[in-house]
Amino acid sequence: MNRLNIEEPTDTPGQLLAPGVRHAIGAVALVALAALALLGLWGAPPDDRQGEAMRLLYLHVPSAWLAYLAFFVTAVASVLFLWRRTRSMVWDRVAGASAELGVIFTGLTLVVGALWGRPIWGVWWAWDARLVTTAVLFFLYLGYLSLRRIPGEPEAAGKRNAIAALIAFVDVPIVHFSVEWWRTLHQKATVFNPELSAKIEGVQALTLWIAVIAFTLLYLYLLDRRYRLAVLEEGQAERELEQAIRERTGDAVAGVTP
Amino acid sequence: MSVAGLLAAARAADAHAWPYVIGGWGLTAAVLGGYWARLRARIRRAERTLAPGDDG
Repeated sequence: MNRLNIEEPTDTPGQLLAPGVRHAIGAVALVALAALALLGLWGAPPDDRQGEAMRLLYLHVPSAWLAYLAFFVTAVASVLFLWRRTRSMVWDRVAGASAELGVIFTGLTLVVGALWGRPIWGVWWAWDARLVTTAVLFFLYLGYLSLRRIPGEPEAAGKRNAIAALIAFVDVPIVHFSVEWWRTLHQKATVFNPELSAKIEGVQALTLWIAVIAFTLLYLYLLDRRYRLAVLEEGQAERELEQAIRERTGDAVAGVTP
Repeated sequence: MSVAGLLAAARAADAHAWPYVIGGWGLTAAVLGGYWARLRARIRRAERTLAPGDDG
């Protein structure tokens, strides 16, 4: 029989990162976010074509990048759960925590993109390949998170979740390459394009890179916290189950006592 | 519309872009800050519930 491994990857139970590392990541993320706010709202010059609306792209682009990263982590953790040698509840929790963050960042990508689209395209929304595939991605992972809430035996539920995550991940490359495969209103990739030649420079490029670093560090910090919460919630559920069993056993004993 | 027309429209819209910029930044800060605060509160509550010696 295959036993589920519930060991944690660090010496601190219920956390992905050692507290010192987590505090350091949180502090650097905070500094990077403050630098981003200063540069993004004030330091970076307005764009020649997009004007001040360009400032929204310092949030839109890193949000989209983080959505990709979060769903990639979910997919890798799901593969590690499905593979018998590495099967562990740790990977199931990492997959769920990362997917939740991915949904938040995808939601932000869509909303901030709409706020950018209104002054630049003149519309909040267009039935464009990039926008539609991103919206599909959002709903796919929302469905995945709903699926995770369905109770079940941990190993069976974990397998079900992992398979669903891998199916949903198919949409990630479709989103990324949609601007290459189809004629779209959405611009092509500025940094991760097929030529790998960034079409941004100077203070604007610096601001964008700080944004990507700040959001990535924030993601790592929040992933650790969400993982911690998942561990605690599992502990709570186990305790409630034990208490219910104790109460029922107590009732049964009381029932046979003359 | 021609490219020049689109650029002109973009420039005209530029003056009105700030409310969208502030809205986007404010919303992002509220969503991420709110998520972090909610996580923190839920972790603290769960840690209190599961504290040693507390039986539920």
